Amino acid sequence: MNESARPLSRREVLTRFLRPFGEPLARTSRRLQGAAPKDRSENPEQVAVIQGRYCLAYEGTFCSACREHCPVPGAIVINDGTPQVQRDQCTGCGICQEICPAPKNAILMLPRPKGPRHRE
Amino acid sequence: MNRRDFIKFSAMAAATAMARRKSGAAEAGPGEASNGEGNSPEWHKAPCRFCGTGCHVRVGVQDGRVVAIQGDEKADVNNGLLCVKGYHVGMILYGKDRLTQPLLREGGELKPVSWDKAIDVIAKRIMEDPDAFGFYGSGQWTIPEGYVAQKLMKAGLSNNHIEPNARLCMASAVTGFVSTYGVDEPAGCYQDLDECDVLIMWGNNPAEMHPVLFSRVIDRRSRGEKVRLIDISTRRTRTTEFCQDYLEFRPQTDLAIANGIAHLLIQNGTFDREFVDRYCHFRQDTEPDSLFGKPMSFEEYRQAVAKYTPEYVEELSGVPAEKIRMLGELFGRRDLRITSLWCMGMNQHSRGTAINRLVHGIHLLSGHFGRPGDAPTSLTGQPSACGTAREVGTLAHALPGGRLVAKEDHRRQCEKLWNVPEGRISSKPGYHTVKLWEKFCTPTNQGGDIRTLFVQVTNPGQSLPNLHKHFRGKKGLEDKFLVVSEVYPSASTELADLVLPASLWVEKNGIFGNSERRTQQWYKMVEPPGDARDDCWMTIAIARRLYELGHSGMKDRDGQFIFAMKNDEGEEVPIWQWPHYYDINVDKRLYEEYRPFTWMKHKNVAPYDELVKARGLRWPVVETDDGGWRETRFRFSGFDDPFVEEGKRIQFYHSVTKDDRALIWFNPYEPAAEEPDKEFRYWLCTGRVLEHWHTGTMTMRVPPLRRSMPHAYIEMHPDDAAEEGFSNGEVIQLMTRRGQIEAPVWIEGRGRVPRGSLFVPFFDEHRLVNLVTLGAVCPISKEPDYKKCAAKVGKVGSSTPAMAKGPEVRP
Amino acid sequence: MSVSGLVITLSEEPSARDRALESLEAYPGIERGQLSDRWLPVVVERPDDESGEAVFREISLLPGVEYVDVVFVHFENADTKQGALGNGQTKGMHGSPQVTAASNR
Repeated sequence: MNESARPLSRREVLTRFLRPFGEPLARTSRRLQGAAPKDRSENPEQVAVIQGRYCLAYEGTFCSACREHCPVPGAIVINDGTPQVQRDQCTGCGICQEICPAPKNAILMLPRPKGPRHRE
Repeated sequence: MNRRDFIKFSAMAAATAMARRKSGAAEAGPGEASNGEGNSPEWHKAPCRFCGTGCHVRVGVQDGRVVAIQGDEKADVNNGLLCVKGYHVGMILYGKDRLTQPLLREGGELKPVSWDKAIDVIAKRIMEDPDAFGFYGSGQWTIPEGYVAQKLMKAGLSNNHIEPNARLCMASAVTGFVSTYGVDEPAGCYQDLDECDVLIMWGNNPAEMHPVLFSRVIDRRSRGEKVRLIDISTRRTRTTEFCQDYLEFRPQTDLAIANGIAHLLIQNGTFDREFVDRYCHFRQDTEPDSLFGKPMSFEEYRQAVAKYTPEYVEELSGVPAEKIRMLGELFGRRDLRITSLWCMGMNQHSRGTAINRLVHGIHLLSGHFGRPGDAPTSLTGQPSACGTAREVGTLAHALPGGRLVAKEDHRRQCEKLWNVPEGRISSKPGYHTVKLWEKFCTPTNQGGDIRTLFVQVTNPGQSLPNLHKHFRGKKGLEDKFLVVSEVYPSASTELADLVLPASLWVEKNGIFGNSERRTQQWYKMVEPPGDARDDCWMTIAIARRLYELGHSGMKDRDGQFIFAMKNDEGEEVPIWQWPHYYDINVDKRLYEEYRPFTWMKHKNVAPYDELVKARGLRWPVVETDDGGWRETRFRFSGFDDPFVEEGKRIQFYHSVTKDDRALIWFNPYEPAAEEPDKEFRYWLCTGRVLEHWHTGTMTMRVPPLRRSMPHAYIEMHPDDAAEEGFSNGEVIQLMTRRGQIEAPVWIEGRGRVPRGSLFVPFFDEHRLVNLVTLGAVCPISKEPDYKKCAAKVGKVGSSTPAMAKGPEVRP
Repeated sequence: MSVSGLVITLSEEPSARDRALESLEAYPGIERGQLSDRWLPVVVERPDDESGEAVFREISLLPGVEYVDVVFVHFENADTKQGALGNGQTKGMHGSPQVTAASNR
């Protein structure tokens, strides 16, 4: 029953549990309130960026709402209490921005560069 | 201009425009515009409206509205930091559906009535049958609000049926402190968190429930200090992620773990013999249980705990024996400072008093007490659970300042202070919360002798356990009358016969008392909306109407109205008339009237004018030779507590045994009131979430908080979900012997339960988990256990719930 | 190439503000605009968006800098796409009353 204090990663947990019809809480919420889920499908043209200045976790208080609501396991990870977006896994759905409870929304959806990176 | 320059030009144009807009006051953010610029808000101080931590906020007011909130950097408690709820606290005033006029139910519908009519209706209900009236408030009552309610009931109506919702929250902590030290409330303070080497959290999740306090500890780590965090819990939480050790125990077996530590301390000879010899006695329970039990010898105590070997504790709790040994060794080390923290996990426990006593016991046995960082500390969930419910004593058995209705000398003292005739206060304790509501929901001709209930600043329709029995049973009982003072429509107003719109937080004067004995004052800053009025005023207005109707209890020994107040010119001010309520500072007068009550138990609260200047002061607050006032951080410790006699290191000066010694209790492990079985195979635990405060009446009206945590969920282990065939987010049924609810499964969301366990938060009024909770109470504190009952789950529509077929709940 | 328009909110305290302005001088690829009270518009030009973001983060952490608002972002990649964001980060202000995050920790 007892385990060591190492937190399980979402990835570890989710590989154990397949969730074919899984949906994020924010979307379930709309359905429960009788509204159709807002279209928050993947948007490969944008990527989430967390602005530390506004993020509560970066400010020293505790929050992990973005990670918990992120529908992609591993796209937002918590290191030392602060969330970080793993760009290669972020699908650009924007749910994290929608639910961010910080006084100034800490999530910025930035356009994602497509194709091979152009360098000057 | 080439393309690249054009882009750069556009970027600079956008940035410059924004910078200009920012420097102009109109567009500036509140924090940025606070200094010297025109049209900026006025800033005031107030404690946060939410939890028991007692953070101070700076409240920015402009044009009669709260427009900005900042953490108060001058406040010791939070040093400018706030949690996600605190940053949004100003928004709770401005939900769209604030209640703004009194509403009386007529023909099944709530219809607007005048305040005069509303007050008259209540007063006449009371006159009709004064003993069948009950007053139900909370740990969110300000000190003056609780004080007037207490005085109205006990000194006016000679009726002890007054309870706070703190019975659902803190009662076991109170009985734990009282039966151990002879007096309530923690000896230590938040400084313990800054100085401990080891922090043990017993069924406690401060990262979510007391985030600002927890950040004090995490900050120490980021500064390179070593502090070991140990989480003893039944589920993984946000707190677990920061802990070196996570000890997951089978619900209810915390009793065995604590006894296991005591056993090891004695077996290894590492208990603090000198501390125990000088400052402690041993105690055990009587049959039936009682608050003060009966003495036992050290030898008897040794034998009682001897059974709790690490192996036996492992067998009961599931925590490996080596981890129990680790705890035993830590407590056995005098070179470490150990602080224990707990909150609802230990209090909402069918053996809540016992587990509270045991944790105090291992601290006393090991001498981890009385030095900064060495403390058993309970946290409160409400902003004034300590200040009002516990200190003013708004409980069925209590009187202000740690007194009891059962004690004649205590009653006489209060009658004297209140200037009411001797014998005015009834010696018979009233009904405790669960009983009070049970009586209210039972037909009068079947012994339901509470007929009118007045509810202020709490939401029992959502927070009582087993709501079918304790709240909804009121439906259809024609002669029962429920009055609810509220700020928003709630699960409680739904059944109310009379709804009173109340002022909220900085719409009124107030005083709170936080978890570390800190009394905090604030002034009214904005007007309440519409016809909303202060709870304190409502109580006084009801008393005045009773006085006019000829109720003799509303007069003191001299025939004066019990809440009569004079202005500085000596003229009586009719404070029961709303337009005159703020002619004088009623809060200050009530508080100053209350202060002498706090002296007997050495809980001396600071004068009102000192509170005005401070960000709260921790009692006992004593006057110094130079006329200043000094607060106390560590009670019972000679180096800090002014009431400890000269030269003594520790003095438990309100000792149960009257010899300055605390009691180390033995209480055995006993199974929970309802445990999983073949049919109901899951443990069900309920609790709170970071974003919402208790029943969500306020925080669900704050859009960012509601968006972030929109509704309740059922936390489940992935393997259990797979086995039941549930996908993440699927709405399922949860059933207990008392009812059923539907909510979505959330797997690996915020917390992680072990197999065979479920967790559901209680903030969501559309998914009331308290429809299914048990309502079994601790036999001593009468606090219900919301953390344990047996449940099953199924697909929606898969089965009809088994209602009320199970074993009857212990009263 | 990425081009961002930022507004830097400097400290109210003059010496901290000067220190921040000095440190900003040290950054390559930053063009300063006209200071309005304590709000400084700048344009940051970087070979790719990754390092543009790094600059944003570093500026946020400079002593004397209280906030950084991104008001304009442009990326240029293989299929040349322009994106301009209107003050995206203040989108979180959901009507009144406004609230502000602590900046002391």
